[in-house]
Amino acid sequence: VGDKTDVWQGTLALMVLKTLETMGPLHGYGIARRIEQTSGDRLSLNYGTLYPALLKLEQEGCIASEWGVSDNNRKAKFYRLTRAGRKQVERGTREWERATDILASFLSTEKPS
Amino acid sequence: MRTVRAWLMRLAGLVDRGRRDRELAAEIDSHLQLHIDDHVRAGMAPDEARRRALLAFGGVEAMKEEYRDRRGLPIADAAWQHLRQAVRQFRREPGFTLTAMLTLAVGVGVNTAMVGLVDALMFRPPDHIVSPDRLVSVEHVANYVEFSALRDRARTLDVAALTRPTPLSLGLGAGASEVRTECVTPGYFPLLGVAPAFGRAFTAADDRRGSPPTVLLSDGLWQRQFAGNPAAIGSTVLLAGRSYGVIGVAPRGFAGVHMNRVDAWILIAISPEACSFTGTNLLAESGAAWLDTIGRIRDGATLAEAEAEVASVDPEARRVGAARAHQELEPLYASRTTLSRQNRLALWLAGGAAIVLLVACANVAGLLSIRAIDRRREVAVRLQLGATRGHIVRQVLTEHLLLAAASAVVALGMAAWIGVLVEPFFPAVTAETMLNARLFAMLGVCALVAGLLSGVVPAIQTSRADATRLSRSGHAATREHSAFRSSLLVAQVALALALMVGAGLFVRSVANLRKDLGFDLDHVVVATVNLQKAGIEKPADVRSAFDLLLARVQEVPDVERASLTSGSILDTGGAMTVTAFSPDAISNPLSGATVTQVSTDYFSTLGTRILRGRAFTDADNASAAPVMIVSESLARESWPGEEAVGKCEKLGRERTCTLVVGVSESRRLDSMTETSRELFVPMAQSRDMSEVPQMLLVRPRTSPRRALASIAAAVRGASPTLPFVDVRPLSDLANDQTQSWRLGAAMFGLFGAAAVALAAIGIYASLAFSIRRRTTEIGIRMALGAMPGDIVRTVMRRGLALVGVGWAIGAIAAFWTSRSLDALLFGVGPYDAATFAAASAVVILAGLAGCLVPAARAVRVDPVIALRHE
Repeated sequence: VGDKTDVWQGTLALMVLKTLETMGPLHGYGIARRIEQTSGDRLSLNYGTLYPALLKLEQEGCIASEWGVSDNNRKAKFYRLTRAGRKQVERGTREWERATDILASFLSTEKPS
Repeated sequence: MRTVRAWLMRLAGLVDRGRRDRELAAEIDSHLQLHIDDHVRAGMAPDEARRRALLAFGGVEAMKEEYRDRRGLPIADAAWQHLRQAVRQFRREPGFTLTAMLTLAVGVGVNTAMVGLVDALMFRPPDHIVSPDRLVSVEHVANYVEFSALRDRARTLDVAALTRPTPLSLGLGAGASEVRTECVTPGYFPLLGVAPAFGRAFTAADDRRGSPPTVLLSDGLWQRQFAGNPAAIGSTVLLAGRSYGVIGVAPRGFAGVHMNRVDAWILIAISPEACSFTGTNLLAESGAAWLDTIGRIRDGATLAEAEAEVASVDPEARRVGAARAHQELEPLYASRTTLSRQNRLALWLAGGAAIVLLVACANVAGLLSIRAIDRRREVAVRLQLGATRGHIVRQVLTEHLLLAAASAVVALGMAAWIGVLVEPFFPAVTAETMLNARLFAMLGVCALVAGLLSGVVPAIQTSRADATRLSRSGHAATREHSAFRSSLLVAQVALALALMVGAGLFVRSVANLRKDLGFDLDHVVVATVNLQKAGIEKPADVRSAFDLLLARVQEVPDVERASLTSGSILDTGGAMTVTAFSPDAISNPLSGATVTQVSTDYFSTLGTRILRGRAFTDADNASAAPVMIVSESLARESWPGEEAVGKCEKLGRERTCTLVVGVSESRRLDSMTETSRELFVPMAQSRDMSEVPQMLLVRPRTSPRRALASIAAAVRGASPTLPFVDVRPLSDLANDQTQSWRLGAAMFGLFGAAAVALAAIGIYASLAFSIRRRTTEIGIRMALGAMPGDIVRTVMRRGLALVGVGWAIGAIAAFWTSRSLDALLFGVGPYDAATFAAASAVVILAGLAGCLVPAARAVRVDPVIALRHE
């Protein structure tokens, strides 16, 4: 796997939601591919781990699913964002930005000489 | 909010797994297919595309596992797994399961019923009564004059008065029946907060002098008499010869303030004659004591304020001063914890039931322990396959709780059955009031405790299976638990013995009560009728009515002889005494004796022997010299060391003396325990004209039961104006008196039998198990020439040792506890040797039976098969 970064705990859900917000309804394989592409193939994702995350989001009411047909005529389960999911994207984004801000300013502090 | 939703969804995820699993599989398939399609489109060979797709996906099974955990609740899932496995386990061993379940059910059921009984008797306020804690009993206000004064003056509390339920005749002639009527003041229902289910309660207008009489029916009477038809309201019923308008029906389950059986309520002020004990008007008498006064402390007032106010109204209290003030009011439902004979018995029964539960738990624990050893191999295998010890313990505990739950269901039925069984003994308790939510909670707790109590040690034992030792040899270390199992068996035998001793003491008490009563309990029929309450007030009319009854009964072919009496049998409560004739006759040797007027054949009818002198004859009439017969006990007390026959003594204020012509044997009348000081005079020589006959005593030629119908038909059909005549065998009346003993005997007997049976089963199971373990050893011994007798002896030795130790401990325990049973017994000491011997015999025989069956089986072991077995 080498220089690829593992998906951090808890960030996968936000990535999935953001993906669905940008792309609209998408099946699991599509979501996984999109996340990989967006990260410029810098993220290593076992596609399988996506499904428990999708289930969790669905149980929380952030996404909804239904069976449909893919572009190349395969049956697939499509996920779409719900209203609660949209709010969750906003909240998650804000929290994430704040966290990275704090961490960034923390890391940029110079060593006193 | 999101978390709550997620949990609910996960809960929903527990159902319909099959469909959800299929859907997940389909989704994974579709994912892989899409991925493969992409690779193929990029020019990859299909096989390679598939391999890459799978690789990218990661472990499918691991992911499914994670997905499933996420979908449902892993803990619930695991519990479900345990449960399913428990059910499978029990299916495999139905004999064990049934025994253990029924054993627990017996323990739990018996216990629940008894706890329910004690709860209903002593702790639970009666149904339908609003805030019973504000209710008080006004102790010294016991007649209508005092009551009216208190009612009109009290500012701190509302009061109402009531009588004890009086039997009144409903209807007249052959179709008449008897209703237990509580006479109350109009404040009674509002004070208790009880609203009628139909119609209305009493009003002040109903209570006004000259108002038409009104009656409120109990639900039971309404169902019996009117088949539950609401049209009953507005109709009239004939009570004690008077017509009463039905105004309402009390709610179902309301049984009056004292929780007795009450069929109807009428107003004291409207029906003073029917309500008073003797049939005379007591409304204006201030000295008498015939009423119970109850009060409800008004909002804002305290018990102390009410006390002070009541004391200021009570003239006697004023005289005695403040010293008595604190006895004026007694909380009505707190005082129930005072140990009446009945409540004490209920507590003892609950204690007995607790012992049965303990025995049941010990028994099941023993069975489970045996099973734990049996399952060691299986457990060892599972441990080696990676199950954790905690997993095994949880599995075993699940099995035990399942067992307990199943037994709780059976126990419920059992508790209901016992409720019906004891209902007649406790008038305040109905099977319905006993079985309520509190009882169900109790049942649940009881079953849970039983399940855990009997399950913990075996669960730990099971999980301790040693993998290495066990996989080498199927049975190792059988001895290890035998100390635990032995002590359980010893405890069972000991407790069973203690219960049997208790049962024996009660049985002997009942037997003693019926012995040497001084009259013949089993060959007499009693007909009771209160004519005065039916409006026949003139003593002469009452007498002629009774003479008519006597004549009718004597015509019945089954009747040997019959007689009248002014007193009642078994109860001297309302009887006249010599002092009643004369208040200043303290020097009279007969002072305080109970006086009964009897007709000629009285003694021969009842079977009371005349010890000396003679019985009354027809010649002892109004024109002859006055005569009397005294009881042996009275004679001994009045003229110690002298012959009573021939003495002549004035009765009260009479001028001439009455000659003692005979001495009759002493009788135990009051509650059948106390010897009564009695004095009899011929009815034909009656001087006090207000004394009238109250009972007709009949000695039939056949058994009382067989003659009952013809006697009842004769007296009830004697006149169409006759109120209800209560015709019963004397032994039935006696049964009412002896019911607490009979209940004690019956329930302790039942408990004892259950405990003894359980102990025998326990011994049997334990020995049978150890023989199964030792089949090889026994086979070798027999092959080496051991005689069957030797084998039996080896097997029996252990069983009998257990029984012996248990018996010794039980004897000490019984000896220790039966001392406090003394007050509940009659004519038998708590250390009755015969009872101990009989109880010991039963327990030892049962133990022996439990030993013999497995021993006999051991002898039948075929050495060849036994040796090949290994």
